[in-house]
Amino acid sequence: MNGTTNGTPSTQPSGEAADQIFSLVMASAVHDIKNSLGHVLGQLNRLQDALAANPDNRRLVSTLHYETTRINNSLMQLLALYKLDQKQLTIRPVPVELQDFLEDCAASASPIATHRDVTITCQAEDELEGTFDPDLVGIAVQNVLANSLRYAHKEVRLSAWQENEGEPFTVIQVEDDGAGYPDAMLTDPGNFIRRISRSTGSTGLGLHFASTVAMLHRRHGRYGTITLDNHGTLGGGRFSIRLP
Amino acid sequence: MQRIVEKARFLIIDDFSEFRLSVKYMLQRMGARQILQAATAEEALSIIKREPVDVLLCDYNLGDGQDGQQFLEELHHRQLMQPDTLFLMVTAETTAAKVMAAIEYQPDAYLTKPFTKEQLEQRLARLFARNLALRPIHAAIKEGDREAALQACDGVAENHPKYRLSALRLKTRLLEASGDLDAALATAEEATSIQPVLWAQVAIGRIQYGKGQVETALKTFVAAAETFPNQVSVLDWIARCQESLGAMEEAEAVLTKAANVSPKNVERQTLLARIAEQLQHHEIARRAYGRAIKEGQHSCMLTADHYRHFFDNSTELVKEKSARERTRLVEESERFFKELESQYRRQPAVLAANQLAMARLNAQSARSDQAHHYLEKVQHTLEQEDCELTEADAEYMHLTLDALGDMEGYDDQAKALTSLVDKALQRRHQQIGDHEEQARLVNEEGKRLVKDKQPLDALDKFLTAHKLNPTHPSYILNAVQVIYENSILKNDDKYRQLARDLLASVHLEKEDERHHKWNTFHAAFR
Repeated sequence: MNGTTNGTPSTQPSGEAADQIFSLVMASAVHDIKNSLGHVLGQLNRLQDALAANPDNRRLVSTLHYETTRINNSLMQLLALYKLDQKQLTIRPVPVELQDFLEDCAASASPIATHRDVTITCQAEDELEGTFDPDLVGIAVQNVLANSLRYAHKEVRLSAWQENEGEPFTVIQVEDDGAGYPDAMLTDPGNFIRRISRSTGSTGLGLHFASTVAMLHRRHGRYGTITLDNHGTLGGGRFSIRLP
Repeated sequence: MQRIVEKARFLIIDDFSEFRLSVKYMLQRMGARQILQAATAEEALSIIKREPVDVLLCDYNLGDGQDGQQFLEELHHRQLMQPDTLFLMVTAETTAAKVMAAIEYQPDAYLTKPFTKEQLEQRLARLFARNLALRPIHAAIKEGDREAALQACDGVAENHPKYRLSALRLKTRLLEASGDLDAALATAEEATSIQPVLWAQVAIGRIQYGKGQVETALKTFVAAAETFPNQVSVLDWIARCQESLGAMEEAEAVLTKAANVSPKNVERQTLLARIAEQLQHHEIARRAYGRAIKEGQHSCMLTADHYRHFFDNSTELVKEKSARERTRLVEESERFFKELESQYRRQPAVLAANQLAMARLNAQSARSDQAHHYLEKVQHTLEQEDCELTEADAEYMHLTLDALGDMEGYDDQAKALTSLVDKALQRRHQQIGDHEEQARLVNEEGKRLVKDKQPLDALDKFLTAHKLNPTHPSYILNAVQVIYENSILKNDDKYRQLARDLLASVHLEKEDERHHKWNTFHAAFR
C-alpha cells in the first residue's frame, strides 16, 4: 500500500538526497547511452569492412563513425561538467603511460582521420609516465583532436613529455598543419563563449571543458593550464595542456 | 606481430555476449586463431586451470561475481599467471579502475570502452614487443633460475634502454622475493631516479617495512599518497605501518577511507576488521567481516575464521542492543552460518568452532532453546572420529566454553564439551605422530631399495614419505638424489621437471648442513 491511502502524503526525499538520486540516475543513464554507442561503434567497424569495396559506402560509414564518436565525447563532457556543478567531480591523478594515452586518443579519431586522409602521429618516450586523470584529460584531448582533424591538411601530431626543471609538469600537445586558430581566439583565450557558433558547430564546450579539467589538476599550489597558439612545428594551430 | 597473434591463445572475459563477439571479431581480423570466451571470472578461472592462455582481455565490471581486478589478484595468488601472460583490463572508466588496483598486481594495460580494432592492435603490438625484449628474463624466471634472471634483467636494461623500467621492476621483485632487501631497495631507488613511478615508490616503502624500518616506510607511503590521493593500496600500506607502530585508531580511519573507495577487496576488509576488533569497535569489525564474507564468496582469500569472527563480534554487540536489534543480528548470523555449514561440511574442526560461536551468540541473546540446539550440534561434531582439533581451535573453544560456563544454565554442558574438546585435540596429536612415524618407516624402505638398485620404487617411497610428512626436507632431497644418481632419469625431461618442482618446494637456510646438497642438485637441474 502506498502512503497516500490513509491521507498522509508519501515522504519525499530531502533536497540534498533528491540531488544525489538525480545524479545517480543521470550517471547511470549516461552509462547506458555510452554502452549503446559502444555497441553501435562496434557494429560500424564490422559494417566498414563489409562495405569497404565501395568508396561511397566507406564515406557514409566513416561519417556515422565520426558523429557517433562526437556524441559519445560530448556526453562525457556534459556528465563531467554536471558533476562539477554538483561538486561531485573529483580529480583522481593516477600513473599513465604517455604513449598508451596518446595512442588511445589517436585511435578514437582514426576513422575520421582515414576518411579525411590525415595522418595522426604520436610522440612520447616508451615507458614514460605522467600523473593525471586519464579519463578527464582524455575527453579533453580527444575533443581538441577531433577539431584539429577538421582543419588539418595532411597531418596532426600528438606529443607528450615531462618537464622536469623545477617542479615537474606533464605537457600534452595537439598540433596540425591547417590554417591555425583565428586571431579572435588567440587574443581572448579565456573567453570561450565568444566562440559559440551554430554554423561551425563550435559550442565552446570543448575548450571550456579542457580549461576546467586543467584547473582541477592542482599540486603544491600549482594548477594546470591550457594554451592556444600558431607556433607549432607543423605550421598550423597548437593546443597545449600543462598539468602539475 | 602477425605470427605472434596467430599462435597466441586469447581469452575474452565479459558478461555481455555482444561485447565478447565484437572483440572476437577484432582479434580474428588481426589474424588470431585461438580465441576463448567466458562470461564470468569463475568460468574464466576454470578455463585457465585447464589450459594456460597468453592474452586475457577482461572487463572490469563482471556483474555480481568478482570484478576484473579481484580476478587478476586471484590469478596471481593461485600462481596461474606466467611471467609473460598479458592481462588487458577493459573499463568504462580507467581512472576508477586504476585507483583501486593493487600496485603489486597491475594489469599490463587498460583499454577504455568503446575501443577500436586499431587501438587494440597498437596496444597488443607494443605489449608483444615488450615481451620479446624481456624474453630472456621471463625464460629464466620460468626455469626458476634466479641468478640467470637477475643477469638477464641487467642485460635488458643495458641493451633495451626503452624497457629499462620494466627490467628494473622485475629485478626489484626477484631480489625482494629472495630476501635480498638491500639490493632490492637500491634497484627500486634506481627506478625512481629515472622517473618517480608509483610502483617503485611503493616498493621502496614495502622493502623498508620488510626491513623493520616502519617509520621510514610510513613516510614513504605518505609521500606517495600525496601524489596519488585515493590510491587504495597505498592507503592499505599506510594503515599497515600505523598498525605496526601501534597507532590503531589512525590505521582504522585510513582503512575505512580505503574501504569506502574500494569495498570489494577481501584482504582490506579483513585488515580493517582485525584492527577494529582489537580496538573493540565491534560494529565496524562485524561490518567489515560481513563485507569480506559477502565479497569473498569466489575468492581464495576467504577463510572459515571470517565467519567465526563475524559471529563473535555479533555476540559482543548483542550485549548492548535492544531486543529487536538483537534479533536482526542473530538472524544475519544464522544466514551466514547456513552458508558455512554447507561449505565446510567435511571439515568437522571448522564446524565445531563455528557451531560453538553460534551457541554463545544465541545464549547471549537470551535464546536458550537455540543455544542448546547449537551445543548439541557441537557435541555431535566433536564426537566424530575424524574431528581433529588444532591447538588454536582447541584454545578458542576452551575460552568460549569458559565464557559460556559462567552463564546461568550452561555450566554442565560447557564442562562436558570441554572434555570432548580435549579428546579431539589428542586425536590430532595421535594422528600427527602416526604420520611422522609412518613417513620415517617408508623413508627407510626407500633407502633399502636404493641399495637394491631399484631406483623407481625407491623414488616412489621417498615421495610417499614426503606426502606423509611434508615438513621434512630430507625426504625431498632423497627423492631428488635418486634422479640425480641415475643417468636415465637424470636426462628424462619429466623427471628433471619433477626434480625442479621438488627443489622449489624446499627452503633451506645457508647454515643447514643439507644446504650444500640442495645447491648441487639445484645447479644440476637448472
